[in-house]
Amino acid sequence: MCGQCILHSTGMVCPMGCPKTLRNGPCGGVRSDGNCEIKPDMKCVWVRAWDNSTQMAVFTESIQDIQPQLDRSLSGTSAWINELGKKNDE
Amino acid sequence: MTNKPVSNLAQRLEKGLFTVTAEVTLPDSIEKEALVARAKMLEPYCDAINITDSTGAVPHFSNIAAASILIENDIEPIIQFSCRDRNRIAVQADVIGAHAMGVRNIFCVTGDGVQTGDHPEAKPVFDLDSVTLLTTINHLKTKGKFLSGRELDAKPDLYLGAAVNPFVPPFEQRALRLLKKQKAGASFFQSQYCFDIERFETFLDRLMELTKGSPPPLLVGVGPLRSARFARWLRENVPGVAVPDSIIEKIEKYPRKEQQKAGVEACIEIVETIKTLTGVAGIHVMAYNWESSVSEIIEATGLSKTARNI
Repeated sequence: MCGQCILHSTGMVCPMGCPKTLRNGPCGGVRSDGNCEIKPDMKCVWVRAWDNSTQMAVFTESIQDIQPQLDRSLSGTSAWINELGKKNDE
Repeated sequence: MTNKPVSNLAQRLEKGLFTVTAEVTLPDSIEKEALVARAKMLEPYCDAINITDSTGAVPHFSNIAAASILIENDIEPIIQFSCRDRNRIAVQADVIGAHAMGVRNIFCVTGDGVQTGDHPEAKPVFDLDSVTLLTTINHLKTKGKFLSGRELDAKPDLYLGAAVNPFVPPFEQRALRLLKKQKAGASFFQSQYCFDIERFETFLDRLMELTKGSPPPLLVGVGPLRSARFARWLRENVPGVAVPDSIIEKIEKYPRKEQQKAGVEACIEIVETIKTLTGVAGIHVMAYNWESSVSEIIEATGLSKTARNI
């Protein structure tokens, strides 16, 4: 749980499931069968994210958004509460 | 802000001149000489030399030290930074230190997982990914500030590059990913080994379409295969390197002793094709532990510095 949920822009596939926790797209190490470089038995998170995002009715283009550096201090907290807190501050 | 190119590499690519870069294999040496000797074998043939960042998750000669040594020897480095071993604090500290040593070209990659190398017990960092590595360094470059907002005494002169791998899935996303990296601050690109021209052309067509015929400078990765056995090893052990059966079969037709020559010839053939493609800015030669083959490939394809600068 990163506390900064971006599932809508990753085809609803959690990027923190990537062993390198990549949030901006696949690395160059994806295997030719589409599986992960580090976990050969697991489908690459970003191969799944790309497939899913193209099938979504909304937010299809959001996978192109540049995601900022992750705030590691929010790890383990609720993204909903963090988001609402941000709105309150505004 | 000045528009003067910050490096020889930047100048060539901005002018649209066909450019050759090469990767030097960093020796496991505690002195400078071995590195300098290898770099000097490449220097007559290329415009800048890539210094890897403990590639393959195997500790090698420090990239910043190696780049400084090249600069001392009047050779322009492209220093690679990966996300595997440095968090955002170390990245920013190292970038400004490298700048002070004269480094201008910085190439940002995700980096191989620690499982790939000879220290699989190590803790992988990946605080940043290749895109946020670019945005972090680009922030230093354009704002003259750390991510925290703390100011540097000046803005560093940097030319940022990024990697692209059109040869592994998700294929349809690779051109878009390149453009995302451009938006994040990358001015030039170097690709993973190209052994599959058809796959590359499909990628390039898509990139040309997305950029309306004006892609950012892209150097295509090439390299000789020493033997059919080496090709299989590369395919199985180096993440992200796709070696089609057809090229292995082509080399395997020859007896073991002649395979080295066949590998160089196959590479020359690929370079000849790449030279004819519109939208390609040059080549990036990776001849792992085989620097002597670079001269042969470059001479045979008419890409020596003298030939290119006529």
